[in-house]
Amino acid sequence: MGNIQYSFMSHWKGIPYKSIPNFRDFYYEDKTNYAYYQSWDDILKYTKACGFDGIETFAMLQEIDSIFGGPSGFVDFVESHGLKISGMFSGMGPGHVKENIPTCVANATRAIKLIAACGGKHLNLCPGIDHTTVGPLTEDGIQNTITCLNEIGRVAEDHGVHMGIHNEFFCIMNKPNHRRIIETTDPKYVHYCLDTAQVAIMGEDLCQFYEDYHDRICTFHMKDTVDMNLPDEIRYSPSNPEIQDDGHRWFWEPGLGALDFEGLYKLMKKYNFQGWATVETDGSPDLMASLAHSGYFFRKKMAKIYE
Amino acid sequence: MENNIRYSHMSHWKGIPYKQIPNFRDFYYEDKTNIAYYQDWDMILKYHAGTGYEGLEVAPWDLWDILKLFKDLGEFKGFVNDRGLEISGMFHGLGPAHDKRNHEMLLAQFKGAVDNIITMGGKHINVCPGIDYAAVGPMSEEGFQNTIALINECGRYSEDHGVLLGLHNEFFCAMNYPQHRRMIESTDPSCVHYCIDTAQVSLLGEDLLTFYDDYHDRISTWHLKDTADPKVAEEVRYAPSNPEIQDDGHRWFWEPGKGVLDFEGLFKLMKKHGFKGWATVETDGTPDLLASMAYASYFYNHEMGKIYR
Amino acid sequence: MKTAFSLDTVNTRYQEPNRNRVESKYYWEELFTLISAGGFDAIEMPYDSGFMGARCAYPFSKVVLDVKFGGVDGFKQDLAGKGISKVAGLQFTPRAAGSVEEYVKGFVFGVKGMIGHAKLLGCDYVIASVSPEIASMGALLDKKDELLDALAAELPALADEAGDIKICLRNEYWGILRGTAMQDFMKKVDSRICYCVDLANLKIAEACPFCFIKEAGNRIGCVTLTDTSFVDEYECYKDNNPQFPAKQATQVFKDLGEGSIDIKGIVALLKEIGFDGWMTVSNRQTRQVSRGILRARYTLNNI
Repeated sequence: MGNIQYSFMSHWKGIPYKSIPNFRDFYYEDKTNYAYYQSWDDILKYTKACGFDGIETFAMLQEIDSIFGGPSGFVDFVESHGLKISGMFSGMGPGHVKENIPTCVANATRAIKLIAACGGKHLNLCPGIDHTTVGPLTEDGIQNTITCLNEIGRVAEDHGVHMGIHNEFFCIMNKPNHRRIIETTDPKYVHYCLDTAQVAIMGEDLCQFYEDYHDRICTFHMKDTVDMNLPDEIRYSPSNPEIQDDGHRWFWEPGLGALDFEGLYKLMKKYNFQGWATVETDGSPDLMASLAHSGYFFRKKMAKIYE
Repeated sequence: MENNIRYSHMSHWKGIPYKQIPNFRDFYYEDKTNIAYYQDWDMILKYHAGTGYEGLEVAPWDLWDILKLFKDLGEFKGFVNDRGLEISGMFHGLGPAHDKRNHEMLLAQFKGAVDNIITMGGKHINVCPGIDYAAVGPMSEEGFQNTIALINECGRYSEDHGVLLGLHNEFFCAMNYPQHRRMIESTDPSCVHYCIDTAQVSLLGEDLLTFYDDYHDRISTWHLKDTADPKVAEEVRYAPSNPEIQDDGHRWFWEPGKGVLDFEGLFKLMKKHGFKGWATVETDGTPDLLASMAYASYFYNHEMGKIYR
Repeated sequence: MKTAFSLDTVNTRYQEPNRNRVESKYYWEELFTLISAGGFDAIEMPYDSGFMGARCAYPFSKVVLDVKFGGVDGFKQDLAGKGISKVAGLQFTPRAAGSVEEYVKGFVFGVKGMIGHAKLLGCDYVIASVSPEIASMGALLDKKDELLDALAAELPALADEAGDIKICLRNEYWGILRGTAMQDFMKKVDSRICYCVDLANLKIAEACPFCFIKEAGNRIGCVTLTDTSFVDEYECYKDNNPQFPAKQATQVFKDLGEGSIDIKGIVALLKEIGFDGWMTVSNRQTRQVSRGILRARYTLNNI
């Protein structure tokens, strides 16, 4: 086994079927490729075929209960396809306000228990809500965020899960306090999930950022971008910049944007990164194509540098 | 450890218009659909490697388009190899071999195809042994003998040049069920092999496992695909309206496991007979070639792989 | 003026997701209802000599209509039942050949076949491209004048054969008579031969469609409403695959209304000069056929 295990972020949104026993009839109803993207069975097979070892899901995934009858059913099904659940993504919520911290910790605890029950290793946590809503962070807000992250991190570690801060370029914890929050949180409990595109869009140099914080990085969200270092007026835009009105994509499949993945992989090799890396292809019009393209990019191309 | 079976994917893409798109993002933004993801060889070859294939089989009708994009087939080969893939071979239609007057032309075409395969580094020429039943069926004795004579002559040429000729029969071809086994038995086993198209031979009327067991020493390679219509009736196979593409969109071909063929049994037999070499995965008929490629790759590498790989 | 919708909107040639569906008959039967629902009661079709037989149900050849649609009459009845009362015209593009003689032979064979088919279908016009792609012509390019003279010599007989059906010559931007080069040729040929004014092809070849229409005047046989925003800055018209520019991938032909051609102005000019023939929407290279039908209808409703 290599140093890096690859997971694919479940951007499929709700997948309504576990498997489809009458696939041919279902296909004939409209004779499009719709039927090919309706079951966990098929999508997990595609994921495995493209060289992935696991999936990352959203902690809010209702289908775990509604389709699989709970975590053990979900794990069994995923593992029967040769895959694991690497972890889950969740949002911390408005932990910048002191009164909200208990609720945020309670919510995160539920996610952590679910992750542990699914055999996952990572809680990748967006450290707050959008800048549009409450930005910029006050000094109190920063301190409360740090407190909340430390508490959630402790719970996670108690359950054998790594909590990784997953910052986003439009979040309340933005460029002015990004590094400060990393440096002020407790390194024993609070790790960092490096979303390659998000940090670059926020204004960090990807390779420098990894060099500086490599000992805090527990996992990755691998995706590409061409919009490095976006100006404040877009990141802080009151209309919320994540989904652009004109369909502009912040995120591209690795290799189709402009990030220095070769440089990153040389550093991963230098620091001997071991663990899960999740490939994200949000924004893609064709997740299957993105899955196959990413399989090629990481398993065939980047693997020549480090795998 | 190297596997016994190397999987190739049949190029069903038809008319790939670009070699490599230099302005992918701008091209995508023009309509913001997924069309841009299926327009160039660069990306499509990466999908092959990304979904776990080692090679591709070239469709002869693509050569015209390929040669518009690449200087020659040697350059195409290099482009394919650079993306971690090899060319396993090429499909070829023998043409109207039932009529002796066509032989000189057809032999020349066959030799040209073999030469192209050699340039691309391929090992197989999988040959449809004639034209459609709708056009010339039923096959006369003279037509049968003429076809056999040409196949043998072609086989000698390909064998001499290190390429394996594999007969690839199809359920709607002039050489149909009544002549199928006799054709195999009448051709020269030293230079004429057989490419089992799992779905086509089943549609034609053969029992897949029995057929493989009976002819395992003639099998050079495979076209692996599933069907839900084994032993389709004569009136369908011989239909004058040509049955390959059905009016109502009925599919003869499915991804493995989505039809009814016994692939487990087949892979046990492949193990028993120690098959080694290329097997081409075919997914014609699918509305989504990439989903089918990935699905089939999972099936063969991860499910059938437990039996034989 | 009368408006038709061309079936060249269906990609039967190049890769795209879910392309297999166009091979079966059901696809076309539904397409006719969509065209009708989009407010078009006439269609134009590509013409195919039928050499490839009838494996796929592309309704472009007589053999496919015979095998799949109950013959020409059955096909017309099928269309009529769906609100399409007319096949306005057909179009044909000859393939490159090794010599002038072979090329002209292929051209004449194709156009004759198309005229015969058009008569059965009750068409008013047929479109023939003058030349294939420049890049595919090889040594024939050096014999351009000889080729054009030989073509011109065949046209009177073809016009005789066509009778009331107008033969309209098309000059794509990748052909030897691209842009205004067509005009000199037309001066030399039988006066019964008409122009096919294809807007996007003219614009890409840097010919002003307005000026071209004025110059052509009453020799306009049909108008192909193509739209584009493509500017051929790398001269891809000389390359292989000119519809897929290798240095700047782009959808050359846009759905009607999505490009930068002043469709409203063009239609006004055609009215002004008294054109009373067919204007045919050609959404070649569309990304979504049904969306393209509605886009075209919206554009036409708002001029």
